[in-house]
Order: sequence, then C-alpha cells, then structure tokens
Amino acid sequence: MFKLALYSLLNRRGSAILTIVAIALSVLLLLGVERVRDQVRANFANTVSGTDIIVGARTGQVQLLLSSVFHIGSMTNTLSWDSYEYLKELPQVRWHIPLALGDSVGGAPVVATTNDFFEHFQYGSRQPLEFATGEHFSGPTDVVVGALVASQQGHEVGTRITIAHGAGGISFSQHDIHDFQVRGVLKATGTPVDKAVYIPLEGLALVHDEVTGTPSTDAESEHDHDHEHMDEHAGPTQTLSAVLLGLESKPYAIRMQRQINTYTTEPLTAIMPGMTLQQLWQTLSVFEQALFVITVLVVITGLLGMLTTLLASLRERRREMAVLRAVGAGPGTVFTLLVSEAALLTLLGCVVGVVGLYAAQLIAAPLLAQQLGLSLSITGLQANEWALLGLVLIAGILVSVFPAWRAYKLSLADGLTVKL
Amino acid sequence: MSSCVRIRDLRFRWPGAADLLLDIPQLDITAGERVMLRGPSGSGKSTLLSLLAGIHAPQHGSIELLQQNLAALSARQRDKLRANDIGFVFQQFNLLPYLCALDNVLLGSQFSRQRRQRIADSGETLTGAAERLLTELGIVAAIQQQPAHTLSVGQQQRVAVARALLGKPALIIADEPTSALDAERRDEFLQLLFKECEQQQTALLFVTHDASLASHFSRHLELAEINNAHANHTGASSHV
Repeated sequence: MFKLALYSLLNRRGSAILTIVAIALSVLLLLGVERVRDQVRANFANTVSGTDIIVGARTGQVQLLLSSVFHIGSMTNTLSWDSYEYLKELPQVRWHIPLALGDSVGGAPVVATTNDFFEHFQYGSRQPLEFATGEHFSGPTDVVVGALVASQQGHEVGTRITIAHGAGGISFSQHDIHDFQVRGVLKATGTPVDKAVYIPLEGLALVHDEVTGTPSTDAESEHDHDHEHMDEHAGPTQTLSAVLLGLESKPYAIRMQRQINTYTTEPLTAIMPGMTLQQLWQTLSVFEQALFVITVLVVITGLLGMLTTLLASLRERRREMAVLRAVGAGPGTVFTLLVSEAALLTLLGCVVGVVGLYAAQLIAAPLLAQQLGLSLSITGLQANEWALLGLVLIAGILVSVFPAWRAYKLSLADGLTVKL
Repeated sequence: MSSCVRIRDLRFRWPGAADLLLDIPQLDITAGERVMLRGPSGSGKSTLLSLLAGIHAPQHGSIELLQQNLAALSARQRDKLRANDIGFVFQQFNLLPYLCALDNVLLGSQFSRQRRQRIADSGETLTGAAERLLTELGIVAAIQQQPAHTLSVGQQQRVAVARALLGKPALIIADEPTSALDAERRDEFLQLLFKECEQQQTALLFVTHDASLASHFSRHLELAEINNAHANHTGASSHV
C-alpha cells in the first residue's frame, strides 16, 4: 500500500516536490524561530549572574537593567558619588562595582568602572570574567576591550584608542592628547560584555575634562552639568550611571532593595536583576507569542498547499482509483492510499525541514556569533521540537482526511468505470 | 457443470430514475463457459456488470456468483469475492500508468490471498506466473519492465488480460476490450484471450456492441432479449 502511494507520488513528482518544499520551509521556520527564541532567552538570562542588586537613579526597573547590563538605551538621570559612598557602606555589601556609561568608541559603548568589575562581575552560571590577553587597569588611560570589540575593531594589547565623549559613533572632538592604550582583552562570554570597551573612572574624568571646552557636544551629555565642579567631590568622577552590588546573603536583597528605594537624600531605584529579567520576558512574551503564531500560520499554509494539490490530483486519479477497485481494493483502501500519501509528503517535508534547519544553523552560527555575539549551540532535536514535528505530521494526516473522504465517495460512485 | 453466474428476477433502476433499466428473469453462466453479451450503448450493459461486480446492488432479485448470493455479503466481502474470483478487462485505462507492465499484472494478486495461494499451489512464484502469462500474451521480457504508459493500446489490453487471469479466477468480465483495436489485432487478441481462458478453465463474459464477433463464441446473448425492461431512454449511465 505504501509502495503504491510512493509510486503514485513519483508519477506526480513535480507537484510532490513543491509540496515537500513548502512543508519543509514551514517546518524550518517553525523550528528555527523556536530555537532562536530559546537561545536568545538563554543568552539573555546568562547576561548577569551573582549580582544581587543594581542601583541607579530614579527610573524604570527594566530601563535600569537594559542600560546598565545590556547597554541598550541611555539613562537620563545619574546618581551622585555621595550615594555610591553610602551604598558601599551598607551592611551585608560584599562587593560593589560603579558604572558610568554614555560614551562610545567606534560604535562600541564605553563603560567606565573600576578593577572591581573584572574581579566580581559574573555571567552565565556564575562564571567570572577572564582575560584572553593582558590584564586589568593600572593607570587612568588603560583600556580593557570585550572580545567582540577586539575582533571587530582589530584591538590587541598595546593598541592606542581615542575615546570620544558622547554616545554617537564619531565625534569631532577627538584629541590624541588623551588617547588610551589597550591593556587587556577579555575572553568571549556571549554576553554584552563582549561588545563594550572598559576604561577606569579616572580615565572618564580625563575625557570629560577635555570635552568641556567644546560646548556644542556637551548639550547632549548627561555628565556635562557637573564637569565644572569636579574639585568639590572626593571621587574621580561626580556621577555614576549605576552601581552593581553583591551581598553576603541573598535573601537580604529584598530588604536592601526597599531600603535603597526609600533613601531620602537622593531618589534611587534598586532592582534585583533576576526578577527584572523575568519581568522583561513577560513584557516580551507577547511578541514571542505573536512570532510563534505567525510560524504556526506558515505551517498551516504549507499544509493547505498540500490539501490543494491532493484535491487537484483527485480528478486525474479517479481512473487510478477505479483500476484499484477493479482488482478488488475496497473503498477503504482508496482512503488509506490518500492518507498515507499525505503522511509520506508531510514526513518528507519534516525531514527536509530538519536537515535544512541544521544546514542553516551551521551557516548562520559563526555569523551570528561574529555580528551579534549571539551563540547558537547546535544541539539534537529537543523533546519540544519532536512534539512540534509530531503535531505537524498529525496535522498533515488530518488535513488529508478531507480529500481522502472525497476520493472514497468518488470511488463508491464511480465503481469500476469512470465517465470523464 | 457448476454454476458460475446465476441471476434470478433481477430488477434494477438508478436511484431517482422512473423506469426500470434492467429486468432480467434469468441468466446463467456455467463454469468455463464463453458467453458474449451484446447490446447497444446505453442498454444497461455496464450497469449489469457493476451489479455482477458487487459495486451496486439490485432492488429486487438475486445474483449468485459461485453459489454465493451477493445480497447476503457485506461490501467488504463483495470486494474480497471480486478480488479473488473475477478478473476485469475494460475498453481502456486498465493499467496504472506509472507502474511497469509486470507490476500492473502483479497488482491482480495484491488484494487477493486466494489468488496468491492458487499460484503457490500450482508451483509457480508470483513473478513467475505473471511473466509466463505476459510472455504467452506476446509481451516479451524487455517490454514487461516498461512503464505502462509507454505501451501501445494493444499491448496495454494484453497486459490487462494477463492481470485479470493471474491466479486463476473463476470468471473474466471483459467490457468492450477490443473496441480500441483494429480488426487484425482484435482477432489476434481474442484468440489469445480464449486460449488462456481455456487453459485455466475460466468462464468469460464478453460484453460488446459488435455483432460481428458472435461467431467466436459458444453462446451469444442479446441483452434486449433477456432484459424485459424495454427502456426507451438513452444515457442510462449518466448517474451520480
């Protein structure tokens, strides 16, 4: 029976191949979108680990997370050095990393921080940062670059870099008086750490001092209003964008969050990164679901294509059915023949789709890693992917029930001779 | 001789039709007999064949095939009986165009365990029996492997005969099998058909509109004579 379906299909291989391709593409899209979604989610969750609290000026929780860890968007408010001093002294604080953001070099965000960053910041499952070459800051004009920046911009230890003020790509206030020198290159992490350039807070002060003489670029900077009053402050820079805190005991984070949020000297926002990441995903889940619905619709379109092809083939196949009836096949056989044909088409579509998925992944993985720092791990088919494939197969068989039923009725009415 | 086909008081009209199409008080065909049934188109020949095949059921009367009353059998059992004991040869479109000649012949045994059993009992393999029949009917080995759609009409009809005969069914029903052939090939085809039927002692019901073929048959029936329903209307087959 299966052999007959196969030969019959081979006889109509043109339309059969098109049907298989349509199903394969839709399966490829369905699984591909699912995979990218899962990987992006995993990469996202891996971005920060071990940091118990992030503090910034009064702002939205998601915004603080995005700008401090993902370097997406800019913060309009800053917190003062005094507040940082206050946070440092809070009980239970085991380590603290100050971050000042807002500048860029060659399109890569500049993160001004201290050596505490390289010592305490963790990603993935509590993995510390490691240097591929070189080491941390030892002077104000030292630079540490992320792995992706290093490979894209061709930096290595000893390379001289000019850091511009402002978030734009190219600044016209570049001077080689305060050019920086790469002192270390970080190992790849698959997180936004790879895409940033790190300078000491003292280095940032140098850059901003330099820029204060050029009012036209200052207007857009969040730092400018404080630059003239530098001497009044104890710290190397007057304002910070965010502070990352690690605590002695995790459960204490909730209490500390409340304490910081109600700090009266300056309005501050404290977030727990894990919770905020979850919030963010909940916000994004609408888009995720929309994407999923679209891919499901694509699969349905592919299966409807098969339905159309099957229905169109019925007319030319009435003779085939009559021949089978004459040699003793029951109408049930005719029904089974069409259903097994659809099952075969869908199965082949799924197989081709999965093969295509792996081919696409092999081609795309290095590009994605290179361009976006997104690491796609090539794994075997997961349980949920098997389930999706199974659902596609079942849907394909269900879709074929309609033409099969029509063929059944036709073969009952036609009998052994077809009057066309 | 035992009875192959036995019809009593058969009456049939298409659903929705006013007049009876068939009213046959009696028709008998004994085993191994060679019967020609003649009638003009639209006289109900094809309908009678589909009743014999068990595809449709009469409103009245009985049809017995090999002493089995069709009315007493389920649709599945009638399909089985047809698979086991009736071989069909039609005017055209007998074959699945995408299968080779040999596979088309083997199709005849695919739905019938009895046919396979009978071939095994005679000491032949399925393929061996199919190849022998094809060769005897003038389809040489090289052509046996060709897809059916590449064969000439005459060759296709002979492949259809081989399929109908495979596994020694009791009855071959041939519905205008020669109307697509020219006179010379027609006579050759008939001789081959008769020879094979005789060898296997298979009864043959040969339906045609062509009276000139009567001399080839041991018995000649006119449908108009055995059928009391003298329907004037044409297009009796425009059902569904």
